[in-house]
Amino acid sequence: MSAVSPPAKPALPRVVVRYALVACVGLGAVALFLLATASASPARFAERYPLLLVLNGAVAAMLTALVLYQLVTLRRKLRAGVFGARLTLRLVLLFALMALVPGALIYGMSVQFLARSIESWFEVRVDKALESGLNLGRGVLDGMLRDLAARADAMALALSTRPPAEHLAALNALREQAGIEEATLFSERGRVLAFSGNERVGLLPELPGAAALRELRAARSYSAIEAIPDKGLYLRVLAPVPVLALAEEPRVLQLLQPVPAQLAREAEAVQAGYREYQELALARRGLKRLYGITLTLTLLLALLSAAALAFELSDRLSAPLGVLVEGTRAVASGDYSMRAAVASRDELGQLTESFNRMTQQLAEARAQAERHQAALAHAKAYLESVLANLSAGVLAFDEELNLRAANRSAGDLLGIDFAPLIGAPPARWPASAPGIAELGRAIAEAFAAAGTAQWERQVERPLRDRTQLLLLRGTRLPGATDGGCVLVFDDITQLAEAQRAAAWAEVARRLAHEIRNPLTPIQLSAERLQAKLAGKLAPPDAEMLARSTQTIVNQVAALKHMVDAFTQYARAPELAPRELDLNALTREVLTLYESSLGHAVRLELDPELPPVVGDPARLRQVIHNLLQNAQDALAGEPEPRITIASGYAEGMVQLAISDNGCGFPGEVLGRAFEPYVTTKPGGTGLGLAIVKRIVEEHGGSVALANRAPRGARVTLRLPAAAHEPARQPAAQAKV
Amino acid sequence: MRKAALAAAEDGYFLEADFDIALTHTLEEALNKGVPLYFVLEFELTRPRWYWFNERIANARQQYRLSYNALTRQYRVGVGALYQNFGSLREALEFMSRVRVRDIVEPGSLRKDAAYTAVLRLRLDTAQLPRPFQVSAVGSREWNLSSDWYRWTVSP
Repeated sequence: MSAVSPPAKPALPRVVVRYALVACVGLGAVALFLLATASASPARFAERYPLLLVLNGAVAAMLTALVLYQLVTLRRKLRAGVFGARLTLRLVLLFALMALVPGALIYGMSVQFLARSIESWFEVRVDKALESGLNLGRGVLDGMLRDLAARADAMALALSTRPPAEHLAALNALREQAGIEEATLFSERGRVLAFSGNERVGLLPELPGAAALRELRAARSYSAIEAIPDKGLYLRVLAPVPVLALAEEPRVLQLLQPVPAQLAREAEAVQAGYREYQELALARRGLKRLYGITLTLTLLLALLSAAALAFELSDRLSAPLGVLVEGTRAVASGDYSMRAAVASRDELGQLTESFNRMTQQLAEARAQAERHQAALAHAKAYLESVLANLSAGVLAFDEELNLRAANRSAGDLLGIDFAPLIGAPPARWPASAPGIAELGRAIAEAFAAAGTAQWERQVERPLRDRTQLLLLRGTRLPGATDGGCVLVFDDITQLAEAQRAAAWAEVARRLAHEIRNPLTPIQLSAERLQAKLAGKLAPPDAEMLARSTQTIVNQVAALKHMVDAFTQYARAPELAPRELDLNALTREVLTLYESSLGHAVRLELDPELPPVVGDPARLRQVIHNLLQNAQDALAGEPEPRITIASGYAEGMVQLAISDNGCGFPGEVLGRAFEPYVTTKPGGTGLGLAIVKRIVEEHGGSVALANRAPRGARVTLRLPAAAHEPARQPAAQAKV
Repeated sequence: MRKAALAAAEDGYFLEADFDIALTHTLEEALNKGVPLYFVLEFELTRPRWYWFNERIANARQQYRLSYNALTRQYRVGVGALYQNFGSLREALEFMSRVRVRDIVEPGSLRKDAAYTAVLRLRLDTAQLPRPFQVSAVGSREWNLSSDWYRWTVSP
């Protein structure tokens, strides 16, 4: 099958062709029936015979036209390569052959048989017999005529001798004598002179016709056999009565004698047979032609009907194939709509039905696949959304440890964009942000070291002003799910710090408790020693005692102070937060340092500063601690300078206290907020730890940095009240 | 067709026409073998009308039956129920050639001031032939015998 094109549009709708076919076949059947009837029975339709022939011819012409049209249509379909056209052609040829061969056979046999049987009717013997029969009849009749003529001549002669007056009596006697039915004597002009008849004769004589009289005048005699209406066959003889005298009027004697009934019947029968035989013999050719034409027309109509029907049937047979092809094409192009089922109970109908079922199943399967795909996509989107909204960072690597995917939190936690890193192994991550390259190397090492096992590792990542503590957990995925590795990491800086703070708080509480208890007995014992022994000792000893006692008391007081500080650190009282102005609080605290610092303090406070929510007592302590630190750092500084600046940025209120003091040594800078880390000779190391703790309890942060060329800066950041009014600092503190 | 005329009589009009009838050999043979031949005389009288179809005044049709009796060797011409025997074919044909039909037009149906057209013809009625001859007769000159339509104008 070459180029497949859509079915050629027939010039006539198929229904029209079908109706035309049915009409032609029906008309043909009727016409053939009439023709056969007319051929078989001579009487009926005899005069309509030519019309019937024309009718049959017309039907044959119509059928021929129909078949030609179907042929042309089929040819066009074949040219156009319509599917099923070849099958139609083959079926048509098959059907036509099946009709033609038996039809032609029967036709040939019939024509042969017909010719033989018609010819066999006409035999020389029959011909001769009939002819002889006729001649016999004629001979008998002629004999009777001659006999009658002889008698007539005799009677005429006898009459001629009689005078006219005796004619009637003589005629009667002569008639009786001769045994003749009717005898009439009339003049040549036709006037009846005498009439005699037996009992069967009517009152009036049967006069001869003009033609008979003419012949009599010409031939002097007339004898003929005539059929007289209502009476049958008669012998009529006219004989002129010899004229003896010139004056006499010429007279004619007529004798009428019936042909015996038996003879007449037989003769009539012979004649009828002869006539029919002659008729048939004459019509022999015509008959052959008649039957031949009838047979030919029958064959023609039958063959043409068969051919036209063959086209129709073939079309019907091959139509389901066309439907199937169309359906197949539609399915191939993704159209799963139902095909028109062929309404038949045979295999073709079943075929189309099962094709429809198959199409339906395909459509269902596809719909199911689409549903599954949609469900999968949904699940994937859900998983991705879960991953994306996970606070932990998740990185996925393939088997070669190239980065495949990263969730949003991963980028947020590390402060970088992972999109350009997709496909790159962690060992080769660039230093796009501080510590990323080192982090990548650590990840690569950890995966390499752990093999297939799970691993967990904490990594410190130095930032500009702080160190980020990351907890990394790595897992190799099982091979069944694409393989690769997954890294989950979390920023545990705050968690670690909180843990450390909690540990320190515990230490401080215990320490305070253990130390405070012996301190009072020590002080009391020292004071009692001095009171008892002061009077009993020599003045120099007494003085030494007094000095030592004083030292003990002082040191115990110092210890108590320290223990109080610890207690304060360990025991975090409940916050009593309210809205307050950080600027006002700063000024309030500064009044305490008016005398010691005075001119060294410079204020750069933002008058537009929004309020913060906080416990004023605790925040006052923060500022107090920071100022104390600054003051301590400025000891021995020729030009001490403290700058206090406040500001507002990104929803946070900032307060920065800078000095130009000694600053923090490098090793301390990272851990300055831990307890007992101090650079001051007499410091407990708790000042900044308390600051950090309080600030974090308020949901803020504190940062520490050295200044160039000298000095340090501490920056507090507290959430502004307008932005987070309902913040629960207590909850924050318990992290 | 030799001549034809419509003549007026006391009780209407009668038709007078003379024909030359010559049977073909085939017809004569058939006749002598006993096949009866039917002849039809067709006559029509119309008044031409320029504005409408012609008015038909009279329409007549007469059938002749010509047959041969082999037993008595007589020819017989029958007109309706009447018949006449003839000893020879020539006589029978002569009789048929002289057509005299009485009362062919109703008396008083013709107006004096009008012109009428009469047509006449005599033909062999092949439909009356026995069936086998009909088949032969279709399209055969041997079996078709017909005068042309003789047309003349009648003005009473």
